Amino acid sequence: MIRKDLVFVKQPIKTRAAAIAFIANAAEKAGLLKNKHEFTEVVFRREKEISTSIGHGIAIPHGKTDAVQDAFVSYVGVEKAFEWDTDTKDRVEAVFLIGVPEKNTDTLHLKVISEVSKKLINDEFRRKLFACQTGQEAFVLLDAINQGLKKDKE
Amino acid sequence: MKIVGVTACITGVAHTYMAQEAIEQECKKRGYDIKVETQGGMGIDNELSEEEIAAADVVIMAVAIGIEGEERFEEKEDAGRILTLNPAEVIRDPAAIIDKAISLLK
Repeated sequence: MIRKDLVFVKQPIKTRAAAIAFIANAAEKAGLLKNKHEFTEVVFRREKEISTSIGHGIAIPHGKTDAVQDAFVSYVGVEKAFEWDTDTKDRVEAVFLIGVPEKNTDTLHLKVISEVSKKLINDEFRRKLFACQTGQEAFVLLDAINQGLKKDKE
Repeated sequence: MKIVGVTACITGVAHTYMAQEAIEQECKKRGYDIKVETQGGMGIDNELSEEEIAAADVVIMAVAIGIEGEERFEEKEDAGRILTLNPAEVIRDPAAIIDKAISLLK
């Protein structure tokens, strides 16, 4: 569910559009999208309704559409915080892009996404995440949430 | 202090659960009794009973959409004990929102 090929740090990304395009490309490469163009459009439409910057240096753009093959959450840490949108003027240094299919979503996937989202509220967790120097470190940190859930299920 | 809340957002995948966490975390920090029902992509979780709602001092509705079982809160509404806001607001500044909720008691 948390995939290594969708976790990135220190990316030289400077705009919201570039961040979304970057992740959509990675998700397409991972075979998680049926239609990248449509997915990107849905994500932008959502952003225009209301910015998904949540404060704390984090934005959580998301698209719920059948252009998504399998639910996913991707993490991108950027090299330098940038202004996410002109409404909130929030400076964002971490982008969590979430894709979920319109129908038939596996509840385990939703559970993982909701648990990751909850963790972001935690100051301590954010500090650890922002301090990650490599994609591998960030992946291990995020994957621990996933593993924790699996354990709960057993 | 007893607080109950409901969170719900449009997509039902992230804000709903983040708002829950933000409210719970802030209330626990203050030693308040807290229970938050979520209405999201996984359906209704942590559902509030009539008794729990009746016993609450204040209710926080962090909702961006209509919710199921709204009638459960009618009495609290009449008593002026409900704070309604967008889930994003409580994620951004939980302390300010809890302060605002408590100010309903005064």
